[in-house]
Amino acid sequence: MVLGLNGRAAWRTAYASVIGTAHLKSGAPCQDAGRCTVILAADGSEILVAAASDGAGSAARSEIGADLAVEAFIAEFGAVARDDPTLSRIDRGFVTGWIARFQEALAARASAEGCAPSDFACTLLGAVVTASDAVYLQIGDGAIIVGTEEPDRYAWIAWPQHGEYANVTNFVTEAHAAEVAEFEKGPAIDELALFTDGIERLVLDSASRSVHAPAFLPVFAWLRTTNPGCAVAPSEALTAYLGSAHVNARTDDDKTLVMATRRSAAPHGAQDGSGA
Amino acid sequence: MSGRPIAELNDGLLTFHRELLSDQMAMQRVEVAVMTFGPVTLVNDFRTPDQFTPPHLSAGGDTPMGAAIIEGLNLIETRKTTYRQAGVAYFRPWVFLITDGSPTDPWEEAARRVREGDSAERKAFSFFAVGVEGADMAKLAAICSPDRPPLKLKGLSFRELFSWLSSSLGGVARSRPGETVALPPPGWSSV
Repeated sequence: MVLGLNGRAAWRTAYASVIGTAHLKSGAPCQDAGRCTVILAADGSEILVAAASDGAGSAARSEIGADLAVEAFIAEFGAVARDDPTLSRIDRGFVTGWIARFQEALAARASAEGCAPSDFACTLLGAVVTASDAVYLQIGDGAIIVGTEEPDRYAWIAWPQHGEYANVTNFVTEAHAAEVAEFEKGPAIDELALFTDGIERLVLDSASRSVHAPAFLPVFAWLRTTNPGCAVAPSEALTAYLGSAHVNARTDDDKTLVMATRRSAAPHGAQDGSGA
Repeated sequence: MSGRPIAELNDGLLTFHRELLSDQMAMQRVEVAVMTFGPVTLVNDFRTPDQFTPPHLSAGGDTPMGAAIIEGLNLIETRKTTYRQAGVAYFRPWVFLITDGSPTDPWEEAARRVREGDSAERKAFSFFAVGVEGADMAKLAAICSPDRPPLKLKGLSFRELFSWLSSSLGGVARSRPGETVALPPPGWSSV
């Protein structure tokens, strides 16, 4: 086990976005974005900042919106967390302010490019985890899941925001985004995943409203065997998984998975799958 | 409806079924129910394309359109309840009314239900009316939402109508969050 300076194990991370088969057919780009980063707080402890976004299929520049939303979350939430790893400065008011600033920046860009802010429509999933604390933000569908004290069980932070119909959700670009935003604070966790709605049906059981743990267990088991440190490029292994026939048989949508763990591999399984 | 029109309609239903079967996403996400009226009969309750057998329809009787619309809308509400209880996500349902006649029963309550449900506020379903030669287009217009006026079928182009319907449903089945699905132009309509 590799220890961070604060005594906690170091984060291992992986992320990938893969275009949906329907987008390939129609020539549309991948409109998902997602990544994570690990930054160091003033006391040397690690801070994980992760975000994912799903650009609306009906919006002309939503892949740009998704990218901007992910970068804006990581930059601003990361900066505040670095100064105060207890995350006391990240509250509802901060979230509302961040959404307003992001929407202003989009409005300026839209006006410069001669399009509407809604052309950048996208969802947002974001998480910040320090040595002691965690915050989560969700606007729209997809979800964030975290490890629990039971090693084989995962819990969701907020259920995907769908309207009555499967193809209706909320976007960070909409006027009511701050009202519908799910914002949660909690103690630090040591394993989490953010994913867009492309893989919702694979990993969430909507009848029991629970996380389908078997979908995550092998992927986390693999992640725990990778080299510690922050991924700086999309993971080849996750890209292969998200583009596999197993996944594509269940969705034709874009799909993004951002994962992080600071659990160590089980002693007996430590060598399994480490080649990925 | 009788003779050649009903034969063309039956042929159109076969085309509809065949095209849904050839669309992998529609196969998983589209369910079809069929009702006839004269008298009001549920021919097929909601089924996925692989379980759906296109009925062979015959003409006859009167045209209780009002009662048929209300029963159809009730059928949709029942289906939504089933989905919700099973935790299954679903799309906005479509209702297609095809007729060459005029209602022979009170239709005002049906019109109220259609206009209430097919509205920007409720979005409970989308209601499309298609008039075949001889249909009372004025009554159909009074029933439909003002935003979705009835369409007149060009000749007997049922095959084009159902082909459009299956590809449009395929588009909805593939649609992503928040997406308003742009429908292909209805080449089967004379409007």
